[in-house]
Amino acid sequence: MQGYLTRRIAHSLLALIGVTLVAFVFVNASGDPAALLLPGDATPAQAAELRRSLGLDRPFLAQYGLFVWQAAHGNFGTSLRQQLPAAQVILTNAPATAELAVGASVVSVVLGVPLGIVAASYRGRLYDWLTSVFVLIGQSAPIFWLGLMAIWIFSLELRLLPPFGRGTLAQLVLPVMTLAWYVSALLTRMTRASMLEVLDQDYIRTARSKGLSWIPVILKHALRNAAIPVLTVFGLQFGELLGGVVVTETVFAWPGMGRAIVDAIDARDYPVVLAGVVVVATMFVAVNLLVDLSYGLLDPRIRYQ
Amino acid sequence: MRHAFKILCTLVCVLILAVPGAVFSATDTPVSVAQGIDAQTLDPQMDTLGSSTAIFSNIYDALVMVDDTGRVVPALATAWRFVNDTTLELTLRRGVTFQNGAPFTARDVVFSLQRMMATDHPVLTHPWIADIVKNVVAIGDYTVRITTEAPDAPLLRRMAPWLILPEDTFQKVGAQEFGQHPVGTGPYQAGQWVKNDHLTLNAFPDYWRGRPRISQVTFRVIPEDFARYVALKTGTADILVNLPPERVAEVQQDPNLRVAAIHASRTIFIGMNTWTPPFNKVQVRQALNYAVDVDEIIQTILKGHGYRNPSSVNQTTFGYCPTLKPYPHDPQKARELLAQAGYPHGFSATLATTIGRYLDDVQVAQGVAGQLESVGIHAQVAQEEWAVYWGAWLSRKQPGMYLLGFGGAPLDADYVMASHFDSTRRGIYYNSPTSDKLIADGRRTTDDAGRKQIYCQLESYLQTQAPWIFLFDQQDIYGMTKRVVWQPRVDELIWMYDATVQ
Repeated sequence: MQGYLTRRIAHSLLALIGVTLVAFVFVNASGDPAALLLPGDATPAQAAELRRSLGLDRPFLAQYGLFVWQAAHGNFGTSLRQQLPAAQVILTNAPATAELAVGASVVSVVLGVPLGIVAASYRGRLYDWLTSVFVLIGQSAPIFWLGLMAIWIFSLELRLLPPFGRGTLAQLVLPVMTLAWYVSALLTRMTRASMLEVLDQDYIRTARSKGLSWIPVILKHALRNAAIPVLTVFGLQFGELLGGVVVTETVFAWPGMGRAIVDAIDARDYPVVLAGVVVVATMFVAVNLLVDLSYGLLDPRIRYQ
Repeated sequence: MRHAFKILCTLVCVLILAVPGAVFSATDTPVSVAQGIDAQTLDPQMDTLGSSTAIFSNIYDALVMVDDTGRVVPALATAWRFVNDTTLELTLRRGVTFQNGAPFTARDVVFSLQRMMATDHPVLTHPWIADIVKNVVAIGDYTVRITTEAPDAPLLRRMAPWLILPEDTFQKVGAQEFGQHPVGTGPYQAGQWVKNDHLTLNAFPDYWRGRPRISQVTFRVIPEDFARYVALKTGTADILVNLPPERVAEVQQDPNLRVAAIHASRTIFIGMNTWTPPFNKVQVRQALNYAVDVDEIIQTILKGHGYRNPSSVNQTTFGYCPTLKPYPHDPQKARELLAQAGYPHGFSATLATTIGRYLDDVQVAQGVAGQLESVGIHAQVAQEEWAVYWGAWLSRKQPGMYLLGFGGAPLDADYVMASHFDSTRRGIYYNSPTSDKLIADGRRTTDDAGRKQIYCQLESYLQTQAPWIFLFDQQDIYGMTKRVVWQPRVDELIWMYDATVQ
């Protein structure tokens, strides 16, 4: 177990370095942060002066090396735009994003798994069809469109919920539901498929034939065995969720990490971009590690070596 | 029982009607302004985006201000005179205090300007002052002398965005902390700031012009156009910056809302890299101006929300030459000129455009490209993200035509000349000895009438040289609730001191 963990963490560190290198290359290859910082009347000479003062004139590898060295010591540098430590820019926005991501995850599990079970149980019947429609919309409609429709219906026409901002529970509803629809769609489909496979197994028939009623069979015998693929998908889907967070935050003016990162990318504020990439990648890696570890709880036959 | 119920109902109704009336009738109801992006820092020398300067003008003051008619009026300076060609002496206002109670003196002016001048770790407002101001000295507590590198007629207008910081406070807390909790002499003090959500400004009771009538102004950040519009419709925002033109009719129909539009100081044009063929030929550049039907672009694409401008200087700006006539739309003439230049069958070139930086920028570029097609010029519209576009532009790598906007403070013709046509400053896509000389004359001449004459000559010369396809000045459109009385400004500032609530 310990060896497994050590190996996984070492892999994750390598992945982080790879991800930051890719981000660094892209941010650097497309546009000059100094030119973007200065007002519209600045001369090329003034841009060069600023580049020098920010250390952007050093060779690419030297800049990246310095970043890795400092990051290893917990220092992600200073935001070029905000004059604050880059890690602080990202982390002050993290609670808002966590609120959205956790909220959407909970709602999508609470919504997606039961819907999947119901659809599998009533295969080919009306419930199954209705679920398919729900899944189809969630998976095919872009999040920003879902978000705009939600604002249009619930904020403008019905005046039920505030269209933007963060602070009250009411403000959380629209962004979480929008994001959750998207995430739960795949979860529903996976649960349904996985349940259908399990429901055909011999032990389900055995359980039924020894007189157990339908609901305990589904929840105790079938769901537990169907859960592993669903959980895997959930872990992988977490990346999609983080992507969806960026769009959701923009549509609903939610002051989170996603918007901080997008703003930083627009401005080529690379310390913030890199700090953001590290935080997001760490979250993704951590969630998937937890998912892998939870297999053992669901299926005692699984061993970590 | 039924009677009691009736009374209760009436009471409830009265309360429902009366309470909001009582709460909202006072002039000190909070007002909220919705913009698409937030300030990056509240240190005004480290953020020069228009949306940020719009906020800063409420927290800080400059030495002078430019009023609605383009006149320079006193702010922290009460009077000024040129001691000689290159020395301006300013008398400062007495009895002004910063929001933390510290007195405002000449030291603060010297400190703020010297911070802008420093070159070792330049602040972002450095380009506004670099190569212009040579030295700033205090003479006593309430007099300041500014020496310029050369005679500089636009100097006073330039000073409008130079905001004054408190030296002692700044030195004590340091730049980083100051950027989060700023202190100025302006009408509003910065309160709670939740990045990318809102910034609350509270009235500064001891403001030298008198206490602001609105006690609290909140700047809200709502990036999505539609969400911003819904915020206005539902009354959560009172002033909405950049109302999309397609929403204008809807807002006008709403009994609680109105539209405020203003001729903006930003000019949209299509520049050309005049060093590369075919744009190095003046006939080609003129042909492009004859080929484009600017009025049609304004009517069909901008739905009338733009002002045709035959000149390179914005029409709201000092030095605009009102006698200039635009190029007529004449495709036949364009073809003749192209033939003279050696391109009887036209040519292909790129037309780079920003994406969403200016109102309908991509559509305008596509419209122009469509019109050029009719005289045989095949313009490939390249939509470039701003970072890519601007990086290339500033390193002189825009190969053909480029759509760009230019404007804002200072509202002086020298600003656009310096940034686009002067070989000694940033004329990196076009310059010529004739225009250089006129630009230098305009900058040196101190009497306004004389300057205007020089700019007329210069603008008409530039028109025949056609380094741009001259297009239009932008219109800034704001959506507003009717309860707020506020006037938009040419320079895009959101100056809330003069605003009131009905």
